[in-house]
Amino acid sequence: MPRPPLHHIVRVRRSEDLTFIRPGVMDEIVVNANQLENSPESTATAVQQTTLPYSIDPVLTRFQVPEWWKNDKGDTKRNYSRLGAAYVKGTSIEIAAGPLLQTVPSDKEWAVLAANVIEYQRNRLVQLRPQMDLFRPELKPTRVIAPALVAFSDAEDRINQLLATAGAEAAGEAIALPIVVPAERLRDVGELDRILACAPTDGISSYFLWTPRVTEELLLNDRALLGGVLHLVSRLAERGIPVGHMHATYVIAALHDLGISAVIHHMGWVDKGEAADENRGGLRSCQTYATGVRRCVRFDTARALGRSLDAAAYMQRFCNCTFCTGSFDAGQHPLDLLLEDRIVHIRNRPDRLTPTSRAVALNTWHYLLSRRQEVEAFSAQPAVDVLAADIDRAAALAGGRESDRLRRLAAELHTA
Amino acid sequence: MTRDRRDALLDQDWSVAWETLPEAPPLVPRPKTAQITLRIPTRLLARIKAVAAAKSLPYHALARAWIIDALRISAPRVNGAMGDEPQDEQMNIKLDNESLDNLKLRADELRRPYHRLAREWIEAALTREEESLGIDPSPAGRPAIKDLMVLLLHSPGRRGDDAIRGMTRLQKLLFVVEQKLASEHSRFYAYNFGPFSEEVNDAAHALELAGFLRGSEAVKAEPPSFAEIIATAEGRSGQDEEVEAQEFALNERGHEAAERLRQSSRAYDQLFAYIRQLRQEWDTPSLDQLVDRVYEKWPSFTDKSLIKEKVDRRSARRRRRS
Repeated sequence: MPRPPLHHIVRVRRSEDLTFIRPGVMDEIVVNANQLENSPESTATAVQQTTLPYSIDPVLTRFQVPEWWKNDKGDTKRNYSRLGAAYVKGTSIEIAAGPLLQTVPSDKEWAVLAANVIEYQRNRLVQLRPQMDLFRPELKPTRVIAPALVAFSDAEDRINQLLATAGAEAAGEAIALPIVVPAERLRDVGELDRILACAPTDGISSYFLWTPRVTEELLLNDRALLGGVLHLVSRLAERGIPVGHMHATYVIAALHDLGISAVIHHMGWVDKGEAADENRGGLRSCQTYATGVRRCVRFDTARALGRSLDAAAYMQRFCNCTFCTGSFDAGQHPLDLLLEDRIVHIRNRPDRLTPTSRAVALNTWHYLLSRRQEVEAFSAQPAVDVLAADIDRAAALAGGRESDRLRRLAAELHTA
Repeated sequence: MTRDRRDALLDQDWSVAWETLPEAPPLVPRPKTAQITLRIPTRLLARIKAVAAAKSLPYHALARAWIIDALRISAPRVNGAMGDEPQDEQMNIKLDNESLDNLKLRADELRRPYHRLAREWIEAALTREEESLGIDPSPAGRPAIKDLMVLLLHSPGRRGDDAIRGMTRLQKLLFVVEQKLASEHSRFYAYNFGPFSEEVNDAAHALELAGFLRGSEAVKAEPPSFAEIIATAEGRSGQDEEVEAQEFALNERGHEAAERLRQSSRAYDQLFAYIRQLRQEWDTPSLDQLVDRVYEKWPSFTDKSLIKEKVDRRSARRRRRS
């Protein structure tokens, strides 16, 4: 039986991301609920204009640890206040008053919280009706996502099971279940089996894995971590329920043959392992996604690898996405645009080089288009074939070190 | 039922009892050929629509159901909370003739005009539904910031140009509009540079994505071409220039949308006239002057301002000069 293609979902984490959502570059978007609280109108407009299916990630994990919902002054961020109020409606929970596990007094209130989170996802954009948009079609999420906590210990496992069951019951339909496993438990198969035992099958339409702080390099260099991910994916896939990854990378997409059927990733091309707390922003570093080696590299490395290549060689080795080919057609080397930087003067600190806003926008497109190509490749061919082609390409572009990295992945997949 | 009991019932003469039975209801519901037209405040209509949206029901059907329910339980009259609000909106509710007759009968019993009774029942049911759904009724009736922004940008400025230069000016002008319309439940709050609402930034971005602002194109439902990729990037190159203030102005499509909004109801037509007048009064050529006036008029929104002392000094100088 032919495999279904990988479903490609892109995460919207900030308002600027809405400029880059387009059919053909992704199949669906998932909007972080805290972001939705910042820009509901523009999200509704973007979804309506692009006709892309959408869902809302309730990001309940952000209420687990105080530092995750507070600003630099130690106050609760305004969007989290609004979000928290919606989640605890009709309960005695003082959300954002302390770690969530300590502020919910009873299982009954956890169940109400789960129902509120489901209701939030269904109604947040429906209730939004400026007079000028009264006749726009109702915006309904394509899937409902269960509230879930980072599974630090058995305590969270028990609550996650409760939230999943209560969420599915409140939804009245099967829902997507996030399973968030910290690196410490990922290394221990016994721990993973305990987590899996608490992940229900009834009322679940799909599982979404997430392993906070586990970068792609960590996965490739730590066999225990990769083994943990493989264990989770294969055990969940055996249940006959689709398995996705909430912060997927190239390595995760390569697990398509082993059971990964959907990948979600955000628009940032620097792999930080996606910690559970909010990305704080700050000045961008001068890095770009080098498609030819399937990872992010510094500007000077990218320049050394690809700037001297002519159009044909560049497209064969470095990248042939719509942006890069279009750039050559327009008579400009794509790296001249992608690697554009400027000096930023910061008071009492040394000057810093940072990409220009134009380069940031172009790198976002370049990254999205490259990822799309990868998703399409893993959808169309067995992972070993995709990897073999990519190993050759990386070797031609950057030599042995980069291709060895991909070879290691191919070897792991072969063993698995 | 036992066999004896069944036989006894079958043998009984029912002809006398038959006459005392109530008339059977018609087998087919009577067509809704009657209609009542209610004049209601804009705020009430918006609240009804919000509840209907939350319940995924058409709002006319919901209002009809509330009236029928009230008739069924012979609901008493209730005092509405609409007070003297102008009843600018019209809602036509189709009923069957019998329900309309019953409504008139009940209104007569309660010594209330039947239109008014229907409106009050709707309002009472609406309040109950809002409570059970957890919908806050206070903001529902207010125009959305996006609506206010479109009408503001549709109004000519003092120099005849409709563009508004800079986010600070846009924030302050919309703050003035909201305060003048209704100061309760403000969507603005005291922040680093006086009154601020992130809804303004959100609405501006929404208008940009919809392609209603000058220099913007609507986001498309197709993969981006190379030209579009470059256009989105070029649109951002100005962000590196710190002194460059963004300009907000509607393009032709935006003005068309604003005109449709203005004509969508009498209330919005009046709202536009009011915003137009406010813009003439408040959109001063100097941004400092606008900021100073806002700080002076609404001091409670300047508590957290990082520039309060500077603004106070500037205002004092201006007063001394005049």
